Amino acid sequence: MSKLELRSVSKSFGALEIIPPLDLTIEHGEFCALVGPSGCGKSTLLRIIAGLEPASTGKVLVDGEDVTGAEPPERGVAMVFQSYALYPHMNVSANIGFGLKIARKAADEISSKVGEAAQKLHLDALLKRMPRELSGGQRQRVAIGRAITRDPRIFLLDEPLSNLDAALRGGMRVEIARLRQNLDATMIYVTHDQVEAMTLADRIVVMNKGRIEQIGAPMDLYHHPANRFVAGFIGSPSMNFFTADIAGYTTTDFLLRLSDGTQIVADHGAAPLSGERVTLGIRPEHIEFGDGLAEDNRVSGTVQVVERLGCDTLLHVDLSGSPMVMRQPRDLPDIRAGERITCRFPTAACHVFAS
Amino acid sequence: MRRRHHPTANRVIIHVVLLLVLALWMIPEVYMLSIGLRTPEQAFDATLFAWPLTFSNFITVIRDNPLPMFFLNSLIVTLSTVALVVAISSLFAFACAVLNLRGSLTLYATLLTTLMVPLASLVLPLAILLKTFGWVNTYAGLVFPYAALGVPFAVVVLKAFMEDSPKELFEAARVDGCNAWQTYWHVALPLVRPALVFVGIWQFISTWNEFFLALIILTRDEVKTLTIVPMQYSGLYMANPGALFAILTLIALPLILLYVVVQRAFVRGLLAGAVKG
Repeated sequence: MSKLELRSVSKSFGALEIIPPLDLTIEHGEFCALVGPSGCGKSTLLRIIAGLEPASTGKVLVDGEDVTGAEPPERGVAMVFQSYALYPHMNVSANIGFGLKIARKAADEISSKVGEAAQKLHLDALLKRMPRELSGGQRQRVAIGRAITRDPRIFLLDEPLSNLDAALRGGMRVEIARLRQNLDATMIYVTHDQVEAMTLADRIVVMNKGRIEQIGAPMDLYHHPANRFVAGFIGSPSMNFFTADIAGYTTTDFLLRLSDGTQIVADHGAAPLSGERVTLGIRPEHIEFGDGLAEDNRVSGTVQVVERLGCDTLLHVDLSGSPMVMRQPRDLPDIRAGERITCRFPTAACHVFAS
Repeated sequence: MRRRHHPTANRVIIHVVLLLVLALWMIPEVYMLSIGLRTPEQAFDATLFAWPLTFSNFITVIRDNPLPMFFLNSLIVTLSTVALVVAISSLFAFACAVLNLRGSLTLYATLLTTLMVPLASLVLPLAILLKTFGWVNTYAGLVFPYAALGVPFAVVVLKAFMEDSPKELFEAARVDGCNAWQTYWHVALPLVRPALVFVGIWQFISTWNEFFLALIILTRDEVKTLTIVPMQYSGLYMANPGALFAILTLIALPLILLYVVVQRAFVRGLLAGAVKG
């Protein structure tokens, strides 16, 4: 376990600035997920933390010690790569024990640590196999095993599940969560999959164009996104957005007018917004539909597509030219495409963002 | 409408064509063996095979020459050259492709220009240089020039292979605590093993067969290599074509055997990296 601090760390390639100066502190034993779309700089930031990429400016501190110029082993980091990066000419046992061999540990120590890691990751029966003889999930477990045998202070995972199919990804996600409980290590996990970040992390760092958009606990980001980018990125299906004009204020609420003239009362949000034009956001699962809808905040639209997922139903609705997705936790056998429906935006579920 | 082709007929046609091409390609080798097995009177008969067969030419060249010594000399020169070329070129390729050392690409480009210089133009300056070094009639007089001439091509092959290798493996080695030398030894070399085999075999063949420089540098029997031996059976006023072709066959045999043994690895080295694995 270790505390990691990034102080004014930035990265540029020539004149191109990939990561503007940023500060970030990750506490002892914390599981922190760096999330963001492809190309947002999250992997570059992880590589800077690992010592594989030099920072253009700033300092990297581990437990208060400046490791900015240090090689990866001196930082006490271990890393799991997106492509697993298993040595193809070594068997599972040699792959897991390679770091220890390079560190000139005694053969019996290597063998006991490899055995321990193999047991934790259910790889006991595969130790003599070559990487090419393993499935994607098994390879991933070997990559994790290679990282944990070195007892790293910080454990870095770069999109470790992105090469697995959906079913395997779910299983590995649970394994990583279990491993985390056993290891009690500081972990930094890069992913573009917000589901992985939400389910695994204590804290999520949402990145966009090299900048940190928001840092917070998963449910905090879900319920109180700082801006439209975070609101759109966290949650699946993504939050619905509508352009609206501010028609009035009260001390607690906004009165918003949508492009078709519908009036919606929304919660005030954190800070007052300048200008008249704003963006109204509401999550698909927060839209009310069915009998007994309250009279306020009602909207009407035409169903375009119905997706029946078993436990949930997704309705894709055209709301006077604006697309909207709503999720209902039940089967809606009577709803067909082309049907006109009315639903409601609860005031407390409406988010207002600057346009 | 598309015409349908019978798969078996297609396969037969392809095999017949391939066999014809192979037969055409094999004519020089078969002819070499055939002349080696003829009597002096039949030597220039315009046939591919002449009867009866005689082994007298082979007996003559084996009796006339200390062939085991020449063979050993060839082997020492060739293996030393191969070892030097593989070691130097793989280190150079690693420095260029993996470490990206400052100035390595300029060095690489400069090295490539040496590929374009013909050996004939180098022989005279090389002979003077080697005489100055006192390396005439020594193994070193052949090994170092051969290695110097072989390294550029080997670097081209190995650098391409190392550049094609997944970069994450080298990064994983860094995270695992490897220094540059350990990354080279434990990761880079095993990764490009097919290319190393290819480079090694290629260098073995070209060094084993080299004649021109060996003729200039080696005059004493104790250090002569096999390729110089045929010279004595081909003079301005005297020729023994049967013996000449018999010794050529004997020189070619180790190479043919080597190729048969390592053929799979050689072809894999040629093709590896051509498609994404």
